[in-house]
Amino acid sequence: MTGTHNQGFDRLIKAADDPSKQTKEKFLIQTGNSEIKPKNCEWKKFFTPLDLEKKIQESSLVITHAGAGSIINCLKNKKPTVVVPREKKFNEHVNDHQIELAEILDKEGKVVLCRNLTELEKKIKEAKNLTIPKQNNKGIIKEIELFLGE
Amino acid sequence: MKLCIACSAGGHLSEIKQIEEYYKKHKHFFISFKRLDSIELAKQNKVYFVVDPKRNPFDLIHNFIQTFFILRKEKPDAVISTGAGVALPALFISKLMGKKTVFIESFCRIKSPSFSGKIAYNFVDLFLVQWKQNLKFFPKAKYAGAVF
Repeated sequence: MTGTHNQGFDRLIKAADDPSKQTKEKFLIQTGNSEIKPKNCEWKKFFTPLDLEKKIQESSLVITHAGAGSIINCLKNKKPTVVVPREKKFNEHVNDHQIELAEILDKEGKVVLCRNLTELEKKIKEAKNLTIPKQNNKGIIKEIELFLGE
Repeated sequence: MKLCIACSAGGHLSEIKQIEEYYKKHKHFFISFKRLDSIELAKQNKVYFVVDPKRNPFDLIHNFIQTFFILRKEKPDAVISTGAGVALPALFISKLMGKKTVFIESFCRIKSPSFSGKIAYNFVDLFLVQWKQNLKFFPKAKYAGAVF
């Protein structure tokens, strides 16, 4: 998943579309605002939120850019997740905050970070051993409830 | 109690939807800008589309005017926002109207504060961070966990 960000993410698409990769599983690529068109995999530029959620649910693993919404969507649906942050130096984003998010979630054992796409297949294998965390929004809801009085 | 939920489409909207179980207990409406996900949201919720200021003064004024009329019509008791800039007029005007204002700093902000967060911090009533380390940027904020 490359998300809806207005810059492309050719690097990830090329890696996912690489015909020489060993992984036997079928790949579906959401290309977003990238110009590149995959040649070896099923792909679509964008899905509606409902369809995207369905595709995530049908997948055994998701490789995603490090958008907060995208990552949360994967974890909520209990999918092993490999996160490839968009990087400013490759013109994939305006800053490097995706790297920060991906690093901290990788450190917490919730996702597997992949910055070097030559390691993608290795990271896919690692992700399959992850314990997917459960959502815990109770604290923040309680704080808001307390403050607003209901 | 009626809630106004003001946020950008995209990640900010995804984040606020993680507390849907809370806001759907109350009358509520959204203020956002048009994108695929906010259009989808509008199929099931009341959503007002406004101009995204994108740090452009003319668009900001336009947003202020749109937001003012929305808030005057809807009269919410509180505004909850996850940012970004599109929500600042809603928070500011509501504050002036004596309403309660809540800002939740984004889940992706870990090593640096967001631009809209830095502005909202100066005037909102409750500022929440989702990572403990952000308290160093926002000492008066509260950390109560994340949306996920």
